Amino acid sequence: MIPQSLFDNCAVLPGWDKHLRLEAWKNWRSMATPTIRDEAWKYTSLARLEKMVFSPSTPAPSTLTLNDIPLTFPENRFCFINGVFNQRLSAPLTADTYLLSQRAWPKIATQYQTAQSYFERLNAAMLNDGLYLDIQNTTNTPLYLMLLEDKTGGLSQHHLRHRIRVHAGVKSDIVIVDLGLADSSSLTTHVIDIELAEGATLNCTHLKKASAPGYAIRQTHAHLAKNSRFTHFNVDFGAKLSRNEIVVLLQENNASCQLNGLALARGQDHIDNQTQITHLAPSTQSLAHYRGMSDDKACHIFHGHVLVDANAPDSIVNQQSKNILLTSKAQVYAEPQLEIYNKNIQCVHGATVGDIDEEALFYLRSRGLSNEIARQLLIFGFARSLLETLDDNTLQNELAEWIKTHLALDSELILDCYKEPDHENTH
Amino acid sequence: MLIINKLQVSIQNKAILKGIDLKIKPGEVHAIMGPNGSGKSTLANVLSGREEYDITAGTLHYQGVDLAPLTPDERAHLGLFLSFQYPVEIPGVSNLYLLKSALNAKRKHQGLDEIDAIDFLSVVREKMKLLQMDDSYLYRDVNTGFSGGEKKRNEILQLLLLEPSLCILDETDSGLDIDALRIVAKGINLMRNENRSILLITHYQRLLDYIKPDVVHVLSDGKMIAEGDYQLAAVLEAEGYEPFIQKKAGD
Repeated sequence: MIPQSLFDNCAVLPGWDKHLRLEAWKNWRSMATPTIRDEAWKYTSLARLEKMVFSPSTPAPSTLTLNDIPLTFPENRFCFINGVFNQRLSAPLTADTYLLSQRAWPKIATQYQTAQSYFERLNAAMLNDGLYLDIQNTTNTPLYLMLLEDKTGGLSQHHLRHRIRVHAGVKSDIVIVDLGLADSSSLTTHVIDIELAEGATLNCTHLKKASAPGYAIRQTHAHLAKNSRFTHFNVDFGAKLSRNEIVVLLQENNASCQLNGLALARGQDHIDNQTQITHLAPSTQSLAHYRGMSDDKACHIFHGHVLVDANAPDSIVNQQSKNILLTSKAQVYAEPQLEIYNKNIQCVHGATVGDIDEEALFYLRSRGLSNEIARQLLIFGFARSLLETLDDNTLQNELAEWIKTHLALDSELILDCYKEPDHENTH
Repeated sequence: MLIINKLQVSIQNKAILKGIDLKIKPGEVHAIMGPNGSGKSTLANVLSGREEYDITAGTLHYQGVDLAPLTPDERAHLGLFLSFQYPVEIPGVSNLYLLKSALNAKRKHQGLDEIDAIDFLSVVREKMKLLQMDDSYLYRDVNTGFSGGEKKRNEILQLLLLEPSLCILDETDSGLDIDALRIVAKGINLMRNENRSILLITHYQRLLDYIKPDVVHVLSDGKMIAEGDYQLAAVLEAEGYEPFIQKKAGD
């Protein structure tokens, strides 16, 4: 994947701790590439990826403009292109709440001491750039973090690590857009560390549309203090390999998280969603609801693990995975797992895998809708019903548009009816 | 006109309908009553094109067209409408969208342009008013989280909007309280005219107190065992199905 010579010749980031980098490299080299014999990689083979050699990222000038990105952005946004911060497309809010690159390293490096997994170690060794966000005040508009990949003309690799801290009692909304516009294979790793202080709230929406031939491994680690709340909405439009690992620690009383995920796998996409929630304190709550749709020869994996510690009585756990298979060659693996060490908790979990609901299909057709349109509508409805959990209506509608495009749904089919009713005009 | 001739239907090799004859002319309202398991809902489902049933003998024609080879949507375009006994919940699909796309599918079949959004809202709101439904129904997902009564009302809303020429109402009265029953019956009665046929499938006389049928049929064990005018419903209510079943067995 990355030979020694490539590491040796790779430019060291200004200000980045050389010793740390070398240690990380050694750590990574000392670890064998996970195989399907490893529980966490049971359904995802890295054999092909291991044989590929990816060039390090070069901060070549990019001609990307905001028009290339199918989203409406608020003013505050940070853009990274091919793993490097891009000033031209960025419009950060206030300078005192963030640190970039060299200034961010001391804050980011502290997190590396715990780098355990194969790709986290690789990320530490080959890191390109990163952002440290220190959110001290509640804002009404979401902050966008754009992680873009432009054409590089060959096999390339990009590695980013960010750290986000939300102060006590502060509420923040962050939208992370992982968007690949390249047509050649690439390897990207993104690691995001999140810390919520007492009573803090972070609503994080993470859209992932990697370059189709790309390999993208993303890890999110969230630590939650007393009465804090973390919501994460993960929408993955697939890639050659798109792996999302979300690890949440509910460390203090009454901390809660809600992890929602939507995986829309088509063609030969492989989407691997792994969630791990640990309840460490009393009255903590977690809800994980992942939905997957596999079309063509695509594969979706949901592996959800919830651990309730003996010190976490009165906790509430709800873990669900719903999946639809649209062809006989598509695959789904749904594994919601519970590990409970306290009897005084409320717990619900379940997983379903099936075809499109035939009863609903018949109902729509009996109202005059063709088989094709009725199917499209049910697929869209399957995805959309989870989007409804998003509070941000603008984002909800934009995501609905992305889904329509991604699933090649008839653009005439989904009308403006889905938008929030404008009672002023329609009455 | 709907003409059903010696219809035999089975599901998973089990015979359900064992030779049904039925003719419904334009403008007529027919009611089919019968005990549980007699085949009433099967008849409704076969008419609307549900695929898991096998027609083993006999024919179904509507307006001179053989229904058997037609898909459910083709039958809807021909003017058939089934009000479901158990309307299906469809999360993620708004009621407004279903209503609009169903109406536009019909208009397209008729060679008409799609209805303008403002015109559509005005038409649908007028129908909703008749059924005492508020605007929130439009933006809720189809039948999702609706009470039994709300679901049935929603079926009648679709009926009023799509204006089918043959309405098949499968136990529309079940799950309705008296007030809701009156509202639903009012909606159905509004649809009565000289060109439209209505087939009511019900267990109970109470719906027929509000919608007076021209003909009442009694279906038992897949066969029609009695036929009469609306007064037959009162006799059934008083005596039950058993005397009719025994009389037929004795014939």
